[in-house]
Amino acid sequence: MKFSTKLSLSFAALLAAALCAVGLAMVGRSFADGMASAEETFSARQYAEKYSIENTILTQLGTSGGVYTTSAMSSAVQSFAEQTPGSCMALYLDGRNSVYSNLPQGISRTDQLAVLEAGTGQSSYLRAEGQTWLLLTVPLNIPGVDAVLLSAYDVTSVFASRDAQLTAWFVAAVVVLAAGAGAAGAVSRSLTRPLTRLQSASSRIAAGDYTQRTQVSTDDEIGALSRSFDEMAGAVESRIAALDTNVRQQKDFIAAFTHEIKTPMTSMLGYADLMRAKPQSAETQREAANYIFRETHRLEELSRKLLALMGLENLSDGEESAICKAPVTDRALFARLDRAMQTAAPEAVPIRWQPGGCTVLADAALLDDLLRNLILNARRACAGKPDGCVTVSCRADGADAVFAVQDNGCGIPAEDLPRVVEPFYMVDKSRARAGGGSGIGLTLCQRIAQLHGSRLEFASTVGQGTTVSLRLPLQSDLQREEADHASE
Amino acid sequence: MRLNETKWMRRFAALEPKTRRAVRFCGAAVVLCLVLPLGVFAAWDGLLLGNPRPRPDPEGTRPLSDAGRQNTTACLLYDCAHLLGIDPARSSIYDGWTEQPLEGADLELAQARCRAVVVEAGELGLLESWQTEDILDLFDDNAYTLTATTAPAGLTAYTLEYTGRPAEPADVATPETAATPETAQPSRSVWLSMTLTAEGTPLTLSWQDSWAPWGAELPEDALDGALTLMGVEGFTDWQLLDWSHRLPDAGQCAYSAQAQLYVSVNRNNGLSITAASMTEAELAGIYGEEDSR
Repeated sequence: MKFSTKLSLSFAALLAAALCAVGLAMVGRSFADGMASAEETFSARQYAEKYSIENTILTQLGTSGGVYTTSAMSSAVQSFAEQTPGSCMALYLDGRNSVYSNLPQGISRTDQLAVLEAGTGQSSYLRAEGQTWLLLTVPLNIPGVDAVLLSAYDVTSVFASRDAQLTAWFVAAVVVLAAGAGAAGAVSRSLTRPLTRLQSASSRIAAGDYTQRTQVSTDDEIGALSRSFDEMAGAVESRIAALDTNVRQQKDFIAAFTHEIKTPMTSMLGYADLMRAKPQSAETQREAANYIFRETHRLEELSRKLLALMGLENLSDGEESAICKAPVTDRALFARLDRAMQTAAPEAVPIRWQPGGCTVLADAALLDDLLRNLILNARRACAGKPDGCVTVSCRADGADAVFAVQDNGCGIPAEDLPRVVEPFYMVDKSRARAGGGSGIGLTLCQRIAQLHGSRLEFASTVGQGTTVSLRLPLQSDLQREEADHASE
Repeated sequence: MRLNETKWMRRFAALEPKTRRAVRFCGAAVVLCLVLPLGVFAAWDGLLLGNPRPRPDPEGTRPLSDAGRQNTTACLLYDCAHLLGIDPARSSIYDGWTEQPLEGADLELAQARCRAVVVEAGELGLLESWQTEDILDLFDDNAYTLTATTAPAGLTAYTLEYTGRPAEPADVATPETAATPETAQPSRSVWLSMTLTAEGTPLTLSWQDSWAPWGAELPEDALDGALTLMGVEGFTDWQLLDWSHRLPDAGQCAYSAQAQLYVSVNRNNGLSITAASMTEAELAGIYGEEDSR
């Protein structure tokens, strides 16, 4: 059931209950007051009549020896009633004997006796011939005589007034209820319209349209709920987009990886089949073996880097706990790299080291891998160039330390610069494969930079060289001393 | 109208079952609230009609109890006080009473009624035996006057006045024993008044004799005798009142709320029995708060 319907029905029921209570209270109070006033008025009137009748009886009859005969008393009451227009009364002696009565025909003797049997000093209401009567009994103080005066007073107007008020209340209540219910329906629909939009937006989002928003700007709880819903929808949309991107990247990665595996495998299979099929010349066999060895080594390097990359992919970007950070000085780092490079390929392109005395907080092993990959890429770029040279530097720039690997090699075209960190992307595949490149080295370096809360920046000119830089925050003097002590 | 009804019915039928149930429930509640006052007032009328209930007494009325109303003396005294404006103890023509000539049979009747009250008073111990005889002797002495006045409700007040010098005994009447100013007995004044109902019941009785002592002691049951004399001994709530610390010669007094009567008896210069109809509040207002026992 709709919330607006619940609101409307609840309001209508409450309004009806309130109108009922008000009607009962007001009409009831008015009726009770009317009855009390009528009873008080007619009671006083009857007492006046009683005194007058008693006076008449005692004064007129008492002088004749104090004998109060039935006929004499009856005549006295009759005389009084005839002199008092509108009076309706009956005189009863000894509890049951009516000696005079001018009560309306509708008030039967049975009714009169019932009132008398209730005792003197009582009042009763009786409905007869379309009128309502108030019957009052009062004893007469006649010595030696059990006399009771029964008077009837017309109180139809009191009941008629009440009925008129009740009718007016009923009509007013119906009108108010109808108007109130209609207004309640309109107001509740207006108040719950944002909820309807919220429900509609959530249905469309559930159907896959993540761009839907409620756009409710009210300053109440519903507005707050709508804003929270919109934020949630935005987060869901972003997450879905990120998941879609991730899935697409994974697909692309698998496709590229598959292609990278397939190409050398095809050639390796071809050379192996060639060697297996028929005897070949020694030169041919050597060429095939060299190719198979070279490609196998490259695939081994590829698998190693893939494993490293997969391990880093599981870590969160920039989180301190994701990697093991410690103060690292550029001098120590450069010294280790220099020894490693000399050992691996002493005849390769020379490297110039330019430390700046900076200390950074980083994972030494990962930073080492990052610089090593950049240096290898720079050497490949300078391959075949007589004056090829790679410069590795670190300088302070404000609060940061900027590591840079610069070469004067072939450079990278501008249109390829944004894609060089993509997995398996190589500007010149044949040249990169010939140099042992796997296509994921820069991807790995970028991931390492992201784990340190930074990113690689590329600047290159075709034919002149490339500079790859990395910014890391500098560390305090205390941390620098600890790093120097650790490197010793 | 039919098309609209069909349209509303179709719209109602198209609602969910839960909504239809809620609409029905709400509709029933609304109808109940509209009809409830009608039912309440109909029930109220049912309770009112034919069911007696206590009526209000107008302000200022002092209803006499049923027991009081059934007693002639209490009822009559009540009427005298609240309706007729008559004080049974003040019965002169200046108090609104009517003079009644007493001659012949009326005189004999009056004498008989008065004698009867005196005899009954003596029998009830309100008078000594010699006092009773002495008063009855007065009726045989022509030196008294007897008057009567009447009031509504059959009240009659008799007043006997006697003034005279008692006769000297005949057997000792000699010149030597003839009365002299030094030996003559003083004159005597007797006043006997009573207000009687049509049945002869006294509402008041007063006997004043100049030869009687002032404040003579009353017998212990004098008040009971007075109540019996007036015919109001049947009320069970007579409460004795002690005015002795304020009025040493007040005699014996009592009050009954059922009868709304205050009765007093004393022997100041003879015998005086009075009764007045009043409420407890009026009694307290006139006499203040007194000890009762």
